[in-house]
Amino acid sequence: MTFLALGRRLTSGVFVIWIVVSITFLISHVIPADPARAAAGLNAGAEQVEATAIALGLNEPVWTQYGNYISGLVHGDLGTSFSTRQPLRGNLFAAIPATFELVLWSMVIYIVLGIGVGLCWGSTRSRRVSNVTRTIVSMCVAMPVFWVALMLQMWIAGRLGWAPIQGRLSSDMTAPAQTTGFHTIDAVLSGQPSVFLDAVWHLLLPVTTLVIWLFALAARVTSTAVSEEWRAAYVRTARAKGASRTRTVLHHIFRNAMNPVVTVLGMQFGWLLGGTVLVEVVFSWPGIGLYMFSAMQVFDYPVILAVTIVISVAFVFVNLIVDLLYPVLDPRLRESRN
Amino acid sequence: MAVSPSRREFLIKGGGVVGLATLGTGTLLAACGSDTDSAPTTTAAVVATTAAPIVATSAIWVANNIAENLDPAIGLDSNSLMFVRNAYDGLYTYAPGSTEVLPTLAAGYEVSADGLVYTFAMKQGVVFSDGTPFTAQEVAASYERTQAINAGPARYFSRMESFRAIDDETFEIRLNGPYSYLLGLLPWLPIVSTAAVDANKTADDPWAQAYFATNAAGTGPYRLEAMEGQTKIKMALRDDYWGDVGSKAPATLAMSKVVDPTTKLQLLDNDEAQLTGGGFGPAEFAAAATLKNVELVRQQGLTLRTMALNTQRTPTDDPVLREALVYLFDYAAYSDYYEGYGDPATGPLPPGFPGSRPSEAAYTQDIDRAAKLLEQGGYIDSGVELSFVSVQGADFGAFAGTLLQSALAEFGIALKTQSLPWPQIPPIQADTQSAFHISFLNMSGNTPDPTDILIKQYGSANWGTDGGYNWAYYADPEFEAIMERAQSASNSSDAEQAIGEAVDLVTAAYPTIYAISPQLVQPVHKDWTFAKYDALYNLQVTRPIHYT
Repeated sequence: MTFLALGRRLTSGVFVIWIVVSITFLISHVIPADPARAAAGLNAGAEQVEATAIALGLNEPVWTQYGNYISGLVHGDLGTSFSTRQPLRGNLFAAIPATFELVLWSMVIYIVLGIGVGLCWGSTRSRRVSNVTRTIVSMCVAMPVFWVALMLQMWIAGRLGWAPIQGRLSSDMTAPAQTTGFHTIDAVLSGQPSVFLDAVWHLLLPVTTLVIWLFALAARVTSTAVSEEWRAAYVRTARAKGASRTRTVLHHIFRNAMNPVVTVLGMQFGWLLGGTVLVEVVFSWPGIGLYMFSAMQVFDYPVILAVTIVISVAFVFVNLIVDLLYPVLDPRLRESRN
Repeated sequence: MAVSPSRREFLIKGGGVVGLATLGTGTLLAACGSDTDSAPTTTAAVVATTAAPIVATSAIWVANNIAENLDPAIGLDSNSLMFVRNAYDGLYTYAPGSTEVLPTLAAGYEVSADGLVYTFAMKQGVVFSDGTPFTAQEVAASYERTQAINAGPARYFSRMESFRAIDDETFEIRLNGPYSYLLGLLPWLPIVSTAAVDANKTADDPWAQAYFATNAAGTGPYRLEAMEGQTKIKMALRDDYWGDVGSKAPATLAMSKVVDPTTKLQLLDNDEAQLTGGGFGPAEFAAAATLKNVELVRQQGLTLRTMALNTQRTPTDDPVLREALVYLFDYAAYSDYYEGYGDPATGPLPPGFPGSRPSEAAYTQDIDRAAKLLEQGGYIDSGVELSFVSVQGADFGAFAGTLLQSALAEFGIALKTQSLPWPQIPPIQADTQSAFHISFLNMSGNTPDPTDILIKQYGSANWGTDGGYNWAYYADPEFEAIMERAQSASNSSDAEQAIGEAVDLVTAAYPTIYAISPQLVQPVHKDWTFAKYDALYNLQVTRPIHYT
């Protein structure tokens, strides 16, 4: 991809984020609601509600509020939380690494698992293996994510005690010095193996829940792509030249089957960022999902807007990476673009 | 009332925790006792000798939300109050689980003959957690700060004309009119260290709000140890606290944000939490009963579930229809929904509130009476359609609407029910003609002042059009006069008589369906059933130094 094309992509990404922010802002401000009352508290009198509206700029016309908000964003000001009356940047930036740690570990495991199972499933000649895999995949798709989370929590953590019930670290553990915000990585960087193990232990159930939720789609997409590639001429040629099934899958089919898989994985990363809310709520995982859930309970609109921006930016960024990956995986695309 | 473990239970638990030595003593004592209640003095003696070892040295309180801003001049919600109540004191406090007001930083008070000037003597020897001494100057500075910030607790200054520190030991409040319930407002006004404010204020932040958002400097029993993002607050019991902390106060108190009710119960059952905040309903209470380490603390609630009937909009402006609605509602079915965790409502004051009507006055469904009234008003099969609103997410509100809907359907009257997000409802209620005919409202007493909850519901200045919660749009000059009489009464019997008159006056106009008074029920770890919750602090707040 040329710098010009990259520039175009980045510009369109900024445009997408602006549209998302604008729509979210307008929806939250145009619907008949009284955010000042929510911000002032349920017991606040009319005078206090009015004072709160003035303090938070909610008495200004919507377009003025919108202009102020966008101007603040450009200068890195994400706004002030209605409930804490403090700039929300600190709390948001503390929550982002927690969610990203959860999402990235889940992605790594489910990519390995989903693609691995998909390769086997798409390549197997055994009807029994195929049926068992299909059943497992169907079960994973059918189970609602919150139900899986609750079951894992109640049985694995509650009854058996094999994993913690909630949180990122045990209460007697102190978080490692923040470098990346990922407890697992920061613990390694600061040479604290006990903290690393505790962080991994706490990731166990939330990550398992997300992997169960996502794994089915990756396995199915990979399986379908691999099955189609098996019918391609180059595969017949490879097999005729004496390549084993394993070698054919790993050296010939794998790379060609990856384009649709990468597309789906990119989309799923975005879904994961928004979709961790239920998992974060059940496991009290202090990420942006829990942050937004709590904000929604008290109608803290600036927090909801800020989390929306974070998810949008991540979505756009991952889509950009996916676009960059296509030509790497498929030389035909590289040539056509050139 | 809090559920107390029996002596036998108490001793068995004690034995389990402290090992063989105590177990031996416990078994011996248990063998001497019986399963039935014995004389209070004997029980008290046993508790006194075994209490200290039974309780863990740390307690974790889990709730949907914890304080996100620690400034006592900001937070008025129950999540903030859990922190504020343990880090700060006011001049007065509420006795746990009741409406009684007790002195804390005030040693006593005198009131002028006209009831307008209150003079308080300050307690001596009190120090803030930052080591600075407490004086009346700190009270004046804290009140000035809270008033200037004008958030949450500032509403409690509305009855004060002025306040000042006369000297270090004396503080004076001058009222703008006689108000006999002043002491009940003072627990809402915590005192902060003036030295901490001065040390951390800036030109842009003259009240050091940024500092107090994440730090604390109060005279309360616990000091802030750490605030971990928005998910955990750790506090430690102060060894220089001025008051008695009792024998069961944990050395450390942590507040942890746990949203899911099942997770909270799991934590209690696995000994990973001891106390909970709100966020539970009858379904969770039933689930808690199946867990071996979880028990319920039950106290009298000071909350009412009500349905305001719009007296300004046709057809609920007709008192005949309103009376019919009151007798049409299926109180028994609604009580079943609460599975025994609610008390019958008797009027506009929650049972147990000063001036509330006795339990015999509880409303019951009377279909015959309702039918006669509907017939008298010509409403049966008349094509009348009523509207009902409840807050989205509050299933108990939606269920009340469903009950009313099915009862009205029997008479050919339609009820259109809606559940809306909370901030969307007040703008609709700002016009009596767009306001719903029936609005589900949760009414809580925040102070022991019964006039507060009455005026909130029926004061003419509190109509929804003015941003208040009088969504019945009730107005009666006689009611206002009685309220003034109650507030300026010089003795409690005069006040109570006035309150009784007001309750009779209001209920005769049928502006509200009083559905139920939910009990204050909190799941706790089985070793913490002596926990007491502050009913006036919105159901979730507990101060472990009050445990006895």
